[in-house]
Amino acid sequence: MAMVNETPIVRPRLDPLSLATEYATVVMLVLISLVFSAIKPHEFVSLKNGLNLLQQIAPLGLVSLGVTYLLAMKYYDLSIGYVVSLSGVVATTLFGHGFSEAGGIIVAIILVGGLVGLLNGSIITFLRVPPLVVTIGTGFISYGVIYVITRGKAVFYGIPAHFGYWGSGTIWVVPVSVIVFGVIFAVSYIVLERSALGRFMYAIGNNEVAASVSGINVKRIKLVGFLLCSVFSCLAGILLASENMVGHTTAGDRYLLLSLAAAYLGTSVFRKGEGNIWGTLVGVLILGVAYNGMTMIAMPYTLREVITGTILIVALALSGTGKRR
Amino acid sequence: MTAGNALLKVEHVTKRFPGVTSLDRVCFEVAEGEVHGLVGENGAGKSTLIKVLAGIYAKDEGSIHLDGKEVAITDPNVATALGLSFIHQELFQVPYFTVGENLFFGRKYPRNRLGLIDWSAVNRQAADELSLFEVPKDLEGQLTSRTSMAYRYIGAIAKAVSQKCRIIFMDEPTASLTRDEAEALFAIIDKLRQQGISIVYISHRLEEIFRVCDRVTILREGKVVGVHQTGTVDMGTVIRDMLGEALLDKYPKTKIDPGPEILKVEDLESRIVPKVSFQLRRGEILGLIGLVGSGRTELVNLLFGLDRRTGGRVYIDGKEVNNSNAKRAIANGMGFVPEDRQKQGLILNFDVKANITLANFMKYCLGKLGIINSIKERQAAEKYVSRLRIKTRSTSSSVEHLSGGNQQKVVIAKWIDTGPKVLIFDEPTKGIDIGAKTEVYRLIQELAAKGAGVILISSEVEEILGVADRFLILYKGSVVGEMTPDRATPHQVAIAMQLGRNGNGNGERNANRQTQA
Repeated sequence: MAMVNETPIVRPRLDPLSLATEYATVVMLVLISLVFSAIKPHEFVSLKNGLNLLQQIAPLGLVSLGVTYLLAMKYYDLSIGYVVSLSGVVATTLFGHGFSEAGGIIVAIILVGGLVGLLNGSIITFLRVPPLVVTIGTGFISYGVIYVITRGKAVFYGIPAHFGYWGSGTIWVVPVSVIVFGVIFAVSYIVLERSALGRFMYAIGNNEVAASVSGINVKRIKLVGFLLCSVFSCLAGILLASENMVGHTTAGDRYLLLSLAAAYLGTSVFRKGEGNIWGTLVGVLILGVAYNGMTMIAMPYTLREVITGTILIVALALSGTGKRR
Repeated sequence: MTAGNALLKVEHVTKRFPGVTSLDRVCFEVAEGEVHGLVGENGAGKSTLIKVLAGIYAKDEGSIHLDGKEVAITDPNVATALGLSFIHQELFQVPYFTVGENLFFGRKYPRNRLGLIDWSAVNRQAADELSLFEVPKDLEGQLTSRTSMAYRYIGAIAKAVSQKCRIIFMDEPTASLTRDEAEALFAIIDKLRQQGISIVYISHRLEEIFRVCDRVTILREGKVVGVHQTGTVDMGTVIRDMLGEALLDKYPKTKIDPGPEILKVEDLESRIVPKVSFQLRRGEILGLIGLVGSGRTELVNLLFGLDRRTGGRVYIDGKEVNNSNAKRAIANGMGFVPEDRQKQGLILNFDVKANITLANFMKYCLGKLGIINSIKERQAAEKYVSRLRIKTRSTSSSVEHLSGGNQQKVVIAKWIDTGPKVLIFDEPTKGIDIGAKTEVYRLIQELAAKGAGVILISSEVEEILGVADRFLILYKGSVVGEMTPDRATPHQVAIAMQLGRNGNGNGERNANRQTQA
């Protein structure tokens, strides 16, 4: 990989304990999986449940990938949850008004993902308003637009039956949404780890001034980051709407915190202290496995949240993210 | 000397850092009520000495005496308790606090019976402490961010005095003051001296040293090379002490015949840079020399597109160019080794190869999609590592842990890789050891020999005389003279830097404008 951090002073030691701390987040993922495998060996460890789990995490995975691009630049976007809801609502509403399936989806992506992303990116980079304020603002606007479109009601009229293909269809045994996520993950891996764009994003995240002095067009690349983040959230929203065959006004609410948690968990492993794509995948899987397993053992809903929160904190504490440098 | 016995006595203090001896058996003495100048070129050891006295660094050898008793300054609180007060170039005041609040920041606030801060007492006491100086009434109630630099400085002095300080160390106190404000400061210094408070006055501006100090101690390469009464010594002697016997053979100078003009700057100006014009030829090394704050960095930032220009024209290879940002400047054939390598030159978290290839990165990518060709990238980096003799375990090591000299070579490699027509070096040898310095000079020569035009900024006279073919002297924002090394003595250059005069004396014109910027 391009930017492995090697420190002559502290070489990664190879004794098991320090390895376990180095990869605490991965260890946590393995442990959780082992626990559920022990409790429900037949149900949890099966191809069916594996694919089911991947299908469950696909929308979260997409949003988290978008977050990872921004995290690489040390930026963030708080409008993503509403963008997830808005895109589902826009796509389903368009079907109700006679748009074709493809047309509805494309318009939703361009309108919601493209517009919000460009708005976020350009206000932050050109007008230099802090991302916190801007993305909360565009989040509220998205929320408002959702209510203008739906008047607060879920949208399910006139959705063509085959729209469900994206969220619940399969190719052979593999869910379509898993394939969508897989393809976008692979492309994102290439972009972030193997392309100039990714290199420049990490350069900006580490030292914006030096990046700019080196001739990197910082503003344009930030804009691209915000655009990708919104578009990915938008895709997630479409997958969700397709899976449930409904454009729900609050479908995306949980995705803001979950995706930030997943991507932030990811900063504790591989490229320490930086958003990175493998770390994000581990983060998403931890959340996915935890929910999947807890559902399987019929744990009360309320308790699930408490346990998820605990897992997050323990994983980050063990990995020693806080003590780097 | 005006008064009394030695208040502070530093004896044979040595401080070593890996690879350098920053202070070498330094002896330094301050008498009661004395204003004592401390001068030396960058890297001479002034700030190390101050940091040892402030309790930030621990000395390796030697002793420090106050009132004849040996003291151990183990941390900054001890220094304050002993009556040593330090006013840095940056004042560390909270801009959103009032002057009075800043005066009490870090001290015990007066409390009322409920244990809450008694603000009226704060203001009363602050007003009292400020009244020692000529300040407007109710200055203590004004927001710090809305007061002038001079009043902020007075605030810092008042705070030191209120803490019963006996010696105030002032680091480049006039750096951000206008001429009138500086005069006011000198008057305050006089007043403090009369109250028996000693001042250690650190400045690059010898004019001021002679204006306010009783004595001056000169440091060079970590050693004290002279202590003089300012009344009986002339500026020439001090400058000679600062510069030493110029070891010009330290500079591997080879004569290069300059080629055609590569860069022409016509009346270039910005908000902070008054009109500047000059030319540069292929193979030529043009020095820009001036004190800190003379506008050198501002000028090259403007040239490289890091600041907005308000007028003038720039031609590269006879073609007019508009370097509105760094990307354009690079595309137009310019490179820039900035003064602060850690903040502007390097991505510290990146490895050696990623830093070297960054400014010309698309060359290491396949096609328009920009997929990285790691093999090509690594090979190029390895080539530079061996050519520039960069000491690193591998091209995948993080630059963060390289020495300053090797870090600088990484930055230079990055710019060589862009094949620049004009390469700007801003204080390229700042904070690197002697051996690495010579290598940097060799690289600069090599680049010029290959036909690049080089602009070299420095505040070291010796460096400019040893490396540059021709140089401009900057003083408070303006070019006040042009010289060639064969026709200038270090002495003449240093005088011109100090006074802004090169026979024609037009350096003062922009003085106030620059200091306010």
